[in-house]
Amino acid sequence: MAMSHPALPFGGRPVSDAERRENDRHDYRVVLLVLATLSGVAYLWSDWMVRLPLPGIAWLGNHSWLKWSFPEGHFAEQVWIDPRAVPLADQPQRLLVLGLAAVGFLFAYYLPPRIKKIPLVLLALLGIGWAFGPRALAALLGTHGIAFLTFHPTTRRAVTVPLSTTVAASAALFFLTPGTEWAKPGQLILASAVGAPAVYLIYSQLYRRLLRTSARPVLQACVAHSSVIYLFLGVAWNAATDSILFLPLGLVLFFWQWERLIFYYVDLCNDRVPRDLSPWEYFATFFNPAFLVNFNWIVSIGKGYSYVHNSFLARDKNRIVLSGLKLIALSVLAFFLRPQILLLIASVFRKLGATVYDSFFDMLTVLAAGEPLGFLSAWSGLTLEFFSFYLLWTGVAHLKVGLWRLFGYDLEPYFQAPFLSTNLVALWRRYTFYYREFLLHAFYYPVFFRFFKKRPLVRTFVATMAAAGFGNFVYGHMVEGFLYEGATVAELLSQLRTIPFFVLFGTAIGAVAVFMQLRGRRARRPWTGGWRTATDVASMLLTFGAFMIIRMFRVGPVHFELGDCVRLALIALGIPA
Amino acid sequence: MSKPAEDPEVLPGLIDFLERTFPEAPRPLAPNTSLPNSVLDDSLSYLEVVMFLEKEFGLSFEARDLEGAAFETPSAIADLAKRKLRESR
Repeated sequence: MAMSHPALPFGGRPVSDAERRENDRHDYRVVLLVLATLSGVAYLWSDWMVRLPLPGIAWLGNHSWLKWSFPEGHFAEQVWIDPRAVPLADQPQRLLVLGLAAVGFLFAYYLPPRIKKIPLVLLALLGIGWAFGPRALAALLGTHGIAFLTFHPTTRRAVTVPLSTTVAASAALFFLTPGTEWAKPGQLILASAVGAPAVYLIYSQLYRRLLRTSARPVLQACVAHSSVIYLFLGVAWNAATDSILFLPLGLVLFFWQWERLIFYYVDLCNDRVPRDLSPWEYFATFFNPAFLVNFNWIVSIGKGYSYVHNSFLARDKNRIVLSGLKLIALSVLAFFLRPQILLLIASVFRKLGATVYDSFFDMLTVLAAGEPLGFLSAWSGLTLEFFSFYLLWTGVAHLKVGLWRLFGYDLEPYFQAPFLSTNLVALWRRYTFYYREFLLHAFYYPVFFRFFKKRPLVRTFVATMAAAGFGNFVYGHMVEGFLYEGATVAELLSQLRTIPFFVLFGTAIGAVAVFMQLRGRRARRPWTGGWRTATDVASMLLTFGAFMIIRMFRVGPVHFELGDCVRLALIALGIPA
Repeated sequence: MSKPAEDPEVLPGLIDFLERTFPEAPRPLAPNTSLPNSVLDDSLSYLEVVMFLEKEFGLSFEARDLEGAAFETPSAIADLAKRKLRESR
């Protein structure tokens, strides 16, 4: 795969406007290829595949060595916007995303560089309004408007007047829209016309003045961490009243961008964001049609402002687009192969004489009932659970990053050949790249650059624990759990039961990092051939084995006793338990 | 820890460190070799360079020191280190 824009970890390498213009050359063949590919994906991911079976597809289904195991007649059952919050069925959701992506691509391809991002933002907002309804769109837009004005206090009327109007119109739309129907235009215009001056006055006379005081860092931090603040307030509310604090859908959408909002805030604190940034550039950081793909999965893709901005047209546009098509092809392949690979793994274990389990849940149920579980059976469950997750998320992640690339952003893939990892530190980078970047930017670097400077091993270990342990728990999985299940005491207790995972995960990665530091990197580069390839394979298998066992503690303790999880881990390690 | 009074020769020591530490580094490593994605393939690898410079030259870094092209080539890193050494005097 072609190497993407050099990813300097602290903001990326700036690209000049002249370089962008140079990189913005058109090639109609690339355009045709993109449109053909997106049409092909729409065909494969919809019931068109059944209604209009092409000979090759029928052959694959009937004669291939592959088992045709797609109950819905296509092989992307889990690509959508959100099956729970969106009234459209899954297939229209998929087609909506692909359609908006195709239109967005054409705009981003042919418009001049300085205005390419605008239609991408508008198309994403259109998709959000279409899928989630006007109230959700209004709350999301209004909240981002307030976030922008907090991050970028400005006196420029060219910014404050339209944004005040946007916030007022969003509020009007939110409060005048009872359900999923749009508000009456007359009412909306009247309310916006009255509300806009009011919002402008409140902002210019009160809020902006506040932002000129020492309260600014606090207010900006509150916006960046708003999801975490809200969720802990929600738990306190639940504890006090036994009811769940209401959260409008639009705010849920906003909070689901918490990792990228914190990335943005980190960029802001490190002077990587221009103080007089235009609202379009701000919104372009968060919104393009790729946002809609499984919107609450893998939400860290794109990092913050500087990475997105510096990756835009960072090299020849056509090469970026073609590399995006490769990722989309890999996504299609991952969805297609997923059931085949799972069946293959299960059949291998069966042939080895194991009773096959396909989830942690099934294995822990057996152990909780006091029944025996064999070594190979334990590995069947650990392996199938891992590949089931990995192939699904690879499909979605490659699709998301592939679409970003179609729009001209030279982003790195989310999964970066994780099976080349020969230790846990490398795996942490290659597996869930952007999520690890979030943890590094938000937790690792602040600790690394402040504490234990005279004690390098302690410094490495503590910084790793801050990121892989604390940050991963509180700002990663806990927030996600609350957003999925609601901010309740019960959910908090459920999350607390998973602490052993974060301790194990942080300790394991920290220990490997310290070991590597002690030993020095002087080892040869892995996977360069020769007899030591066998060592690389063994290291890779050990790394993944350790990871598969550790990740069981993320899910297991929620539903089962910790002792059962430990027993499962011991069985997998070949220790009778 | 060594901290010479005059401008130290940062570049040779840095290149030696990069060659010893990163098996991906081309040999010999030229001062103007682009490091991102070829030698420094991981954000944590930048921190290894930071720790080396801190230990060898008694420098102190902040995250913002690593902005932009500061770690683009061995020469750029050496220039940054020299600048910080001068500032610290």
